[in-house]
Amino acid sequence: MLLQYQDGETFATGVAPYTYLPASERETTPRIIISVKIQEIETSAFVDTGGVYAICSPEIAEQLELDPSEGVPVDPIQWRRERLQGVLYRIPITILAQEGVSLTIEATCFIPKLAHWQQWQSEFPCILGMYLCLDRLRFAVDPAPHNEMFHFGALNS
Amino acid sequence: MTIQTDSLLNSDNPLIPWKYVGVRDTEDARTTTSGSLSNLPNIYQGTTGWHLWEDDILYSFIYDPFDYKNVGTGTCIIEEKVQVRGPVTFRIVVFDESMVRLQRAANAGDEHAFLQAENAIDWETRPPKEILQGVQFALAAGAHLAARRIASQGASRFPNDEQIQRYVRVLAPPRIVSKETSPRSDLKANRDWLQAHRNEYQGQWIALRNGELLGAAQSLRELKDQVGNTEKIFFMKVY
Repeated sequence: MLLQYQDGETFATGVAPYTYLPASERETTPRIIISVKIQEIETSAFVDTGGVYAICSPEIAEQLELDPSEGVPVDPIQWRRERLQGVLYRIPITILAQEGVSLTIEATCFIPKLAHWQQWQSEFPCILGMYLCLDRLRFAVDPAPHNEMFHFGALNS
Repeated sequence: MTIQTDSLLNSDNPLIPWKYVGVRDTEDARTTTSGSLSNLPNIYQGTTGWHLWEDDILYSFIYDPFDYKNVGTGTCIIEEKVQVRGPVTFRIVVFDESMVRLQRAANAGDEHAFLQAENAIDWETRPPKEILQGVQFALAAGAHLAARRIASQGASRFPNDEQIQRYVRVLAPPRIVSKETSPRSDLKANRDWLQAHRNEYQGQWIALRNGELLGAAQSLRELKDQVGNTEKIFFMKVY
């Protein structure tokens, strides 16, 4: 069921199931993990409203067709007590809908360049941050046990 | 702007291995390099109080050594190796005081300090290189709105600067670029599979299609080689 305002205007144009599980081996706190397509790779990503960028795990990034001349290398950014080197790219990320409309966002995505001692690449899925990724979306979660649903729509839908 | 080495310059003399750094604004007449460092403003860690005494330099107090390199014009930084009561060598490097403040804030990840320092900079007078540097410092400081604003300001002044234009593109607000109306009924099937089987595949990459496991491997690359075509295949690392 797609969410609407009382007057019938659409709030969300798409809805998808999400999993509510920890996002890494090091964590026990569950995250809202949804299905996305990053360029042509379908994978999972967790919703991080406290984050700034989308972050693409290096293993996924390795599979993408990224033009290095389109990237912006950035000085180390602070992420969860680690300082990560990386490159910012503009990448299309599609939030897949089980019902309704899948939306493709052109988002700013941070691709970490990891030092050999940083095991981050095996620890996290991709991440959808707020400011440079989910900023223009409406979204809501229905945490009904065993049937968790993520509702979403474009701001101007 | 003229930068002169100090009149006490004597690089042939042995020096004790200390380096001290002072910062002065060469746009300010008081601070023209002329043989005395006594008018260095005490505004930074690393700045010293200097006094000339019989061709020797005595320093009153040394804070942290400054580790910055030449990054711009307009102000200068002076690195010195000092032998107390002996000859002194000065090395003068052109330096930009306001950019130092930005860099310090960036290194500290201090958004508030960055914005305070950035407030004193007129980006309308800055060359492309400094604008790009300002954006980088803003990102490192966590001042993402400022990063976008600085890049946009630069882009309007330098419409043909490919690098600045790229920064603007990358930092632009996210936008919806397409809507696809074919619902994906397989999403629920994949989720159900994951909830039922995740304990069996902890730490592995898995490939699912419509709730059916196509393969599992230690790396995504290996898994993609196994399954071949990736269309409508869901790849995930299981935790």
